Amino acid sequence: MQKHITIKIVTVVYFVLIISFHSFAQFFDIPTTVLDRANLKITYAMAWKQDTNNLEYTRREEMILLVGKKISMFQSKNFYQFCSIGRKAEQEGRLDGFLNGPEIGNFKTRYTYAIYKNYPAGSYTYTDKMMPGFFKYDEPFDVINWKLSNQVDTIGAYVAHCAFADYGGRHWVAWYTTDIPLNDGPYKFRGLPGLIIRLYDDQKHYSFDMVKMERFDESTPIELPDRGWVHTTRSNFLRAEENFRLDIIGRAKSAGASSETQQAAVRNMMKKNNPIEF
Amino acid sequence: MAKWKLFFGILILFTIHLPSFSQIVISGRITDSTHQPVQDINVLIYQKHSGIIKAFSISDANGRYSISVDLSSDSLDLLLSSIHYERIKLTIPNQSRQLDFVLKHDTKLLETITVKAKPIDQRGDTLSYLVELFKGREDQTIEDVLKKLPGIEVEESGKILYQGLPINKFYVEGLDLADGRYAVISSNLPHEAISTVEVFEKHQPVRILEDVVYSPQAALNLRLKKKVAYTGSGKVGSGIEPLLWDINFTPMLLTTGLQFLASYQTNNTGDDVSKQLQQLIQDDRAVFPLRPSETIQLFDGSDNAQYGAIDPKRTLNNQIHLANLNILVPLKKDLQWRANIYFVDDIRKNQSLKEHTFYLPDDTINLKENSYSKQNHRYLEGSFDLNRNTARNYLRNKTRFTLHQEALHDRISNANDTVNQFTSIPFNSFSNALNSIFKARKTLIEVQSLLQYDKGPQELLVSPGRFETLINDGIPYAIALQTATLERFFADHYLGSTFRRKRWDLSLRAGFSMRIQSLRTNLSRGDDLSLTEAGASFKNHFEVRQYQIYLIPALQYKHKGFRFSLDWPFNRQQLQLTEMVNTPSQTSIKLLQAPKFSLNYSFSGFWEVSASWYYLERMSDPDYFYASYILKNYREIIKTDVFMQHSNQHLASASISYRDAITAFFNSFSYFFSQRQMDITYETQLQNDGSFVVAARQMPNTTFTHHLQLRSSKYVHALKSSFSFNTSFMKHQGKTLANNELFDAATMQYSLSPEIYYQTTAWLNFNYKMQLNVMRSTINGDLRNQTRINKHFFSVNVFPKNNQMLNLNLEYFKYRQNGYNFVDLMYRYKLPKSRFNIEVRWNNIMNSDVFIENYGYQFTVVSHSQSLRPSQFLLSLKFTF
Repeated sequence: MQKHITIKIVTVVYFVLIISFHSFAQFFDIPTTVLDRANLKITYAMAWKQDTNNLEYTRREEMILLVGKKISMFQSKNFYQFCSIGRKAEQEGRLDGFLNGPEIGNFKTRYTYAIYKNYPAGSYTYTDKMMPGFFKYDEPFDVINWKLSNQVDTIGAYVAHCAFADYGGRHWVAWYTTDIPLNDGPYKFRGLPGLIIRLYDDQKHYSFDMVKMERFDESTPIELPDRGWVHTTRSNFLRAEENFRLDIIGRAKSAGASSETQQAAVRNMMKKNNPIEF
Repeated sequence: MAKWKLFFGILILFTIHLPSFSQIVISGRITDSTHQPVQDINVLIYQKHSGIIKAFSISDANGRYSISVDLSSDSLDLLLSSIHYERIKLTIPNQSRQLDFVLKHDTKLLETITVKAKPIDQRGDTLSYLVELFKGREDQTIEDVLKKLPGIEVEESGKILYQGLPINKFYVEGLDLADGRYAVISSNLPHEAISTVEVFEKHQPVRILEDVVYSPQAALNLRLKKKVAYTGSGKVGSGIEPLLWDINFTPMLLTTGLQFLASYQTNNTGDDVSKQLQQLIQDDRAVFPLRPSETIQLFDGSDNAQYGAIDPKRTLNNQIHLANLNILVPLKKDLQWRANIYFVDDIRKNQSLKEHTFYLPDDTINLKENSYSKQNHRYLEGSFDLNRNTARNYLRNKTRFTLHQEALHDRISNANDTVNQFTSIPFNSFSNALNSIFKARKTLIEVQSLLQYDKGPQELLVSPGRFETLINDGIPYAIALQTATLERFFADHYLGSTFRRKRWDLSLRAGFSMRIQSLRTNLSRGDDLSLTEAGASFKNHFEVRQYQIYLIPALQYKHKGFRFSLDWPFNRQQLQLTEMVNTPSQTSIKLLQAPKFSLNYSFSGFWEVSASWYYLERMSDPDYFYASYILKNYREIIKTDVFMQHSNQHLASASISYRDAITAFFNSFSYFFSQRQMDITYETQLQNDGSFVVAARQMPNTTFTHHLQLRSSKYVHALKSSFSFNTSFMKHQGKTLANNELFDAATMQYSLSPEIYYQTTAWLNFNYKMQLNVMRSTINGDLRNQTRINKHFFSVNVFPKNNQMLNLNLEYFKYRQNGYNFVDLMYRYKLPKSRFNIEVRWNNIMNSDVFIENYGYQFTVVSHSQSLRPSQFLLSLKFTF
């Protein structure tokens, strides 16, 4: 008798599980707005220390800057490739092949944000996904004020000039070269009379070094995916990020993680205690 | 005075004029040859002949620039530069002035350059985790390290999750040694043997499906430091009161080809190590929709099911031995051969007090039973498989056998008498599953075949015999012996294929299955010396043949935040029953359908709504058909002589959620409804001793279930705390036929559970949770029982140093004016620079002896007092080699 009831309850639980696990992957082939076209791609090696208690551990990733006539875009290289190759695969109807292919692991990234500079004019737009939504915010360029320094150095084959700026709670040091007459750079930084080829904060927790510049004859579009963005402000976005870090136990719990897993998640998240801005 | 005035006058003059001597402003407008303003031109001012940039400006959208210069020299160098226009260099006097420029196009082709060779491995350390970087001093096994990797979580069962989803393969050097039962590897493999942990995201284990079937899950691969690793781990632990032991010896040989793992483990500390043998990865390529259950259990022996939230380690009084052997051998032509063999011998003892209350419309029957049980589970299981997994075809043949023995002894005493129950429930099974996938032109075709045979000759002995009125004309008797043998053969074959077009997916599967089984049961009664058969009404002997032809089309549509799916299986089922004892054979043919429809839509970044509906038609499982009475245990005798019962069920659900990451405010609300209609009703005849006779009656019966759930959580930054609140409500109602009365029985449960989590620093956090559960039972609308339990949980974790951990758990709950306390303390210390790890546990410090939980079904409420392991102190040493 009891068995029948148990079976019934199991069925009920099973069904509840089935419906609650219907969360769907977001695929690539979504409408976009073409903001500009680029035929210059600059690659930076980004290195950062995620844990202030373990400064010996440095993580690395490559970031790219696509430079258009008016607008540029800065993004993780892996994430950019993941999206663009994924979209191509999806358009050709071989999305699953791509997602399951051996090369998929090459696209792993820690950063999914994109920074569009001079969009809207005179401002940059920052976009990122943060569970469960997609967020964007913009700020005018003048939030970053450069102070020039007399220091000159050579980086690679370039003569680089030095400049300082305070932004997001860090003191930044930029080295730019007038040999590349672009006023752009990594992350949100721009507005120097030459390309920023090296950028780091004075504690050297975050650094960006240009590794190469590539020109392609056929221009590539700079696109803003039409994600149904939630428009917010920088301070709200940072608050959301911080809340996510601090409330990791709540998120893990709501995802149904066991208490041991929750503790592991906290210990893990405590190690990601060094965001680029705060 | 005049002097002062003059001084100030000069000072003011200087203050105003001094800058104007040196600070000049150069501004102007830059246009191209068509007089259009030019943006983004760098205008730089250098100290003359120095190459040092002193000031700059970048032209705006109107082509305007403006530079303030503060230099003492008489002239300056000015440079205009940009990619698309000519470069202009001038020397100008150090004076404020307006300078307009007209620039000619001159695109400089910035050629591809590499500043310096600093290649980052594309697979980088973001994909392959270097174990060296993540291992902590306190870690021993690779599982300990896995817990630390970003994105990876390890559950208590040993199940590994990546980004919240269970992994779908666990490889060592690309080889899957344990076939989904990987906990035995991950919890015993020392991390020193491993160089990197690789995560293959969105991994499709079947290579030919790589282009076809999307898998959201990831696989884990461990790379060895050396080509050949001989390694393993061990543990020796001991405790007092009574003598406790905990031993583990697990050597392994891992290479890029041959792999081998053996393990021997034994303990009596309440650690159910057989959990390591749990299938942590469901082999979804081998799921057959109509497959009979994998075990045969004809009797319900001692019921030690856990209904509540108590840690099994608190109650389990065990003595377990486990041996395990895994071998993987690569053969020629991409073939692999693998053997996994397990042996477990587990003795469990348990003592509990159960209070059953049966609520009838005009009567309430109470039954208190004290039961003592001893269970011995012993089983040998093995599987051998041959595998080829290439991009061109997939082949897998898996042969499995199981030899199972389970002997249970229960001694149940109530106020009047004591009953002994011996249950022997062995079964043996053998199966072979063949799965092949290949391409026919562009279409993928999948063929599956399953053959399964099992047999369970089982026995139940109850002494003294019960149900005297039914079985022995009201005369007490010494022994009732129920024998039952179920023998089953099942074969299932199908062909399947998947088609895809843009946002649509269509898959089709067609198959045929056959199930032949026979059941023989017989009840004998008597005394110690002789047994006689109880008669034809206690004898089943029949054969069931079930043939099914099925077609399963499934359709799915996905676009942006919208998803819709529809599955509509059809199944023509023919069930034929041949009774050897009583009536001639009966046949029933039915076309069964089970459409399932679901919708999901997420919008505005914060909201998600979903709804689903499922209608299910079923025929009874032949395993549960008894034409004559069969004794299921000392308290239940059952007869379900209604041939071919049919049931249908509606399941509907709806949910809405709002999740805002900015304010850290998360909410979800869901509702679930089920309506089940059966064409039979079980009638219960409750005896005075609490036992019951169950029989099926041909009478439709409908049961309803409603379930509502609300979850809400908020992180409050100023308090560094997360607050959450969960509440749920469930109601189950239906008609019950008991003691010749038909009445409405409903069970209602609700719970409220607020919780707070506070993280002070990286080395200290704590958690408090309150849980209130209320259960109400009503009969014909009258409230007959209400129980309330209020539980409090508190836990603190302290990490004084990296190699130390202290955990304190407190639980308090109140039930019927009695309070219960549980306190556990654990301290772990890793000896610096060694492979040894010491753990001290003091469990159940307050020496609480029982744990009480309540559950209810139909018209019955059970209060279950489970005896616990006493306060125990355990010291253990873990090591790796």
